[in-house]
Amino acid sequence: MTLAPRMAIKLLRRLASSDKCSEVEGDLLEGYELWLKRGRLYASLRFWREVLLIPLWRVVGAWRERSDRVGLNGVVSVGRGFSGNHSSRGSFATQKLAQDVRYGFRTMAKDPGFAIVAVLILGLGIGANSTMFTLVNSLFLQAPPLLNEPNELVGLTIFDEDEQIDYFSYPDYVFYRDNNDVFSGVMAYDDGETTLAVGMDDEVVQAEAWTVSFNFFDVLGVAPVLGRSFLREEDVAPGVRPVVMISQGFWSRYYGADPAVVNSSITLNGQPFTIVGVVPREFRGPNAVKTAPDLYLPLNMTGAISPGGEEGLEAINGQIWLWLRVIGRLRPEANLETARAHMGVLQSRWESGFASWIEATFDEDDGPFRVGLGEHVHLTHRQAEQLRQYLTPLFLAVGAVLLIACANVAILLLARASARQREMGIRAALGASRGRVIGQLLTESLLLGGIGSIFGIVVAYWGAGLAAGLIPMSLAGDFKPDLPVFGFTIALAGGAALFFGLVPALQLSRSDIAIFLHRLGHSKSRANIRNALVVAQLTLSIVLATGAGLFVRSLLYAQRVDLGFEQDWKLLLNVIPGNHGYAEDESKEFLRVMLDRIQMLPGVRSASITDRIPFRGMWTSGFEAPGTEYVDENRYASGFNRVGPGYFETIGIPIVAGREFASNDDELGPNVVVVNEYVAEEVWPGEYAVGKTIIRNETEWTVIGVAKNAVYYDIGEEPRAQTYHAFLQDYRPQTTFAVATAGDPKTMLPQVQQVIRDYDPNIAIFNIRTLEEVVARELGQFSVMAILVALFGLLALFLSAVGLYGVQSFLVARRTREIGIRMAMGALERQVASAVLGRGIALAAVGVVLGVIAAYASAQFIQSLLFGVEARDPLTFVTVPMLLLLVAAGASLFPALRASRVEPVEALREE
Amino acid sequence: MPGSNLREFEELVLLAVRMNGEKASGATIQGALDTEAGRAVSLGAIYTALDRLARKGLVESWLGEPTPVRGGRRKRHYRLTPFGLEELTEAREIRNSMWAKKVAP
Repeated sequence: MTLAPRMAIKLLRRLASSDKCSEVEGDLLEGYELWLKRGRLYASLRFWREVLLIPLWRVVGAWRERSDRVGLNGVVSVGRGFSGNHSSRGSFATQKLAQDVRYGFRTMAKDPGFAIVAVLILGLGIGANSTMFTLVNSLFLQAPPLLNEPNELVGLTIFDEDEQIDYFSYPDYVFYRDNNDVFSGVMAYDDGETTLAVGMDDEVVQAEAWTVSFNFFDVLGVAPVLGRSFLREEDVAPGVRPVVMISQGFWSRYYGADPAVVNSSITLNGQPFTIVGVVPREFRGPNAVKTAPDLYLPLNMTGAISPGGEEGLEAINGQIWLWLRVIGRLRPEANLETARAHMGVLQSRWESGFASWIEATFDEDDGPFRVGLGEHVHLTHRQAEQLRQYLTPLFLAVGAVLLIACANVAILLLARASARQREMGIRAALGASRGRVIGQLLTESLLLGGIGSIFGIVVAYWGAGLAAGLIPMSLAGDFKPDLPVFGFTIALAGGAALFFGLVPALQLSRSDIAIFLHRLGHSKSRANIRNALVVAQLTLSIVLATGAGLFVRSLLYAQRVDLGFEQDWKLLLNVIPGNHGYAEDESKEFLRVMLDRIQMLPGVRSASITDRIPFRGMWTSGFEAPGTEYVDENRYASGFNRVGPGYFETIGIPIVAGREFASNDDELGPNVVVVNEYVAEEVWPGEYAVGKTIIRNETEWTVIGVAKNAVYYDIGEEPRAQTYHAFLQDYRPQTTFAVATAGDPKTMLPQVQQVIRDYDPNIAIFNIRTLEEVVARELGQFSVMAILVALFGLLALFLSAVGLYGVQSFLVARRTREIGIRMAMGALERQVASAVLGRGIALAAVGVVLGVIAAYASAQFIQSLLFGVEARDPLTFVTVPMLLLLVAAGASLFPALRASRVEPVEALREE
Repeated sequence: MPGSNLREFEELVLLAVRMNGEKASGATIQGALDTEAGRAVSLGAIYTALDRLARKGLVESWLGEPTPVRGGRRKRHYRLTPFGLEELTEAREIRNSMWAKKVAP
């Protein structure tokens, strides 16, 4: 089979209800075999046509079914019911419609150039919108697959005065689960990225895991494909029942889908677990953005899989850890309002540990916390906010592109209107009412829009996945147009057709018999409308192009900004020996030996380890600096990191004073610390920081070096206090290896992995990436807007140029005679050309002025997405209008030249 | 029994169903319309017509077993109901009797 039908089948599966899909597919394939006899191209095109027509016919069928019921029958009646009710209003309207449609097609066929250009322009405009809607539809409007009655699911949330937190502590969850009257079940899960080392018979792999409450799958209404889900008694006390469910993907990948997997044993971070069930492949969890993991464990097993175990236990018992997303299923008799009210009542009975902790820890009044129900189940408040931030400007951009496209088609239609005046005159002379003429012209527009919308669906089919990939969040799900997208596109195309078709239709229908008799010359009002449309296009283009300019400037700035470290040729990978039963001193020994051996590898410039990597933040802690104002209550707060010897050299953070950590900065050596420039200047202003002492955790640490400020949170963050400790003196079991290489870091990966496996073949190596990738991901937020908006900006500019060109060419064509007369009277070529050119530039100037005002007024809306550039950036606001004027001049140039080449004699001979 | 109105297209589809006997399916009907009436009709139109005919009780359909030819996809078969045959016959009789009338001078 060729490629095209396969794509078409995918589209079909989207559009058709699943029960019918298979039989339709069968018929299509059977037909395809036959059509192939007439050639591959014919067969493919025919196949596409069939698929695209199916939804259309479904609509027709539904309409006929309705009219069957209300008694409006078909056009031709034979058989016993030959009672002549075809003269009823409904069928007369149908007849007229059919006539108009047929006529519309014929008009298009007569002028295929116009039809193709119009459909292409509309298709791009509609397609851009359908693409964006596909994203919104799959992220905001559609529940993730497999959930039973997703409308009954609601997410619990904590409202603060100005914030919304979608996470709860475990004791909070248990309270709301056990004391509410409105939910038939309340589940909780931790969707944080937990990577486990999974040991099967002969291999160790790493896999993502979620910890979930025992009723997670029951509340969502998802049944395992094999085995069972968790039991209540498996999730009552920390660490007692080591059971796990695996995903269907994991099951087929590692077990060859063997049913005997149930009750078999598996080790997670070295602990033995029993597999109790297999989760269906289609299941993506209750969140539209997160990717579902391969493993699911009961919440109470959190401790068993954490290095050391203490953190997990703290999480289960502590009330200050907000880590669980809590989702309930409403009872059938409960509605959202009563549920919301009920949550308030419940909260008053529950002394939230978090609220009292906040009160005890912070003096300022943060306002009361309120537990309620969230806006979306399948998106957390933060995710929704983030998505909205990206999608809103994009939606506005595609909307503007569509408006420009509509204006373009309207201009084309107006130009054609002049040519069709005679036709309309004849129709009017033969007795067509004005309404009938408008109806027919609108039908033509709707046909254009309809074909444009098919084109648009095809654009969305490929574009949505692409656009989703550009948004700097890891979005799960397949972004393909489905029925709602189809509906949206058709509605949009209809709206667009009315928009671009109505004015030309009203204009043209005014033609009367007089026009038939003497062709009237230039229509003043039509010219005004054309000019207004061109100006409107240019205005919108300026707004879009300015936005694009601002985003591009942000991206350029972000790429240049000093991160404080070197991103090139750095390999990062995680190994957590504590996950494999290593005690603290064994872990340290392992890390020490590994660093030595990795550094010996040819092609490795240096290697070190670190607790935190850039853009993942630092820990925060306070210290005292004796001899400064930062003592006792005035403890100085700083971000801190624990790193190995040679860290600064490896990651490329320059040491500006003193030295960095060496391998003898260990348990036996004196306690040492490296501070950044910011700390050195704030704590010891005007002094040499090296040699000073700080007190943290009641221990004295001597400053041995001062490092340059480096970015650990966001690109462009304000410099902040940073201190670094030697990991051998202040150990924590989370470790990332950082390896600086002499070439492409990925080529060194096998050797590094081999070194680690030689030491311990069972140890899991995960999160392998380069520092460059980490940075690129951060830059993604700037590049997506820059790329997409710049694309739309260029499209807008291009369409406007086409519009201006069209209007100018039309004008020259209409005035050939006049120009000829002028030239016969002695006008110079130069004068004629500059008259036309001047008119184009004058139009553009009006558009530019309006556009700059509009862009200036609306720029503040995108300020939060910009970086390193003001929303009212003077450079952008000067260059973009200049560029547009240049483009406008270019678009007017050809018509102007054509005007200057008019031969007076020829022009006068015309008519 | 109240009469039902047959569209011309529906009549053609019914005829194609009759012609193909037990083998009538979306694809064979499409083929028949192509060869017999010279019409390239889209499958969507045929399904719509068949749905309407089924609603009116003129055809009935059943889902066949997967066949190897169709890549393991199930096939929906159609056949005329007795009422469908009756309607079709009557439509033909009306036409025939009208054709048999003399053309008024």
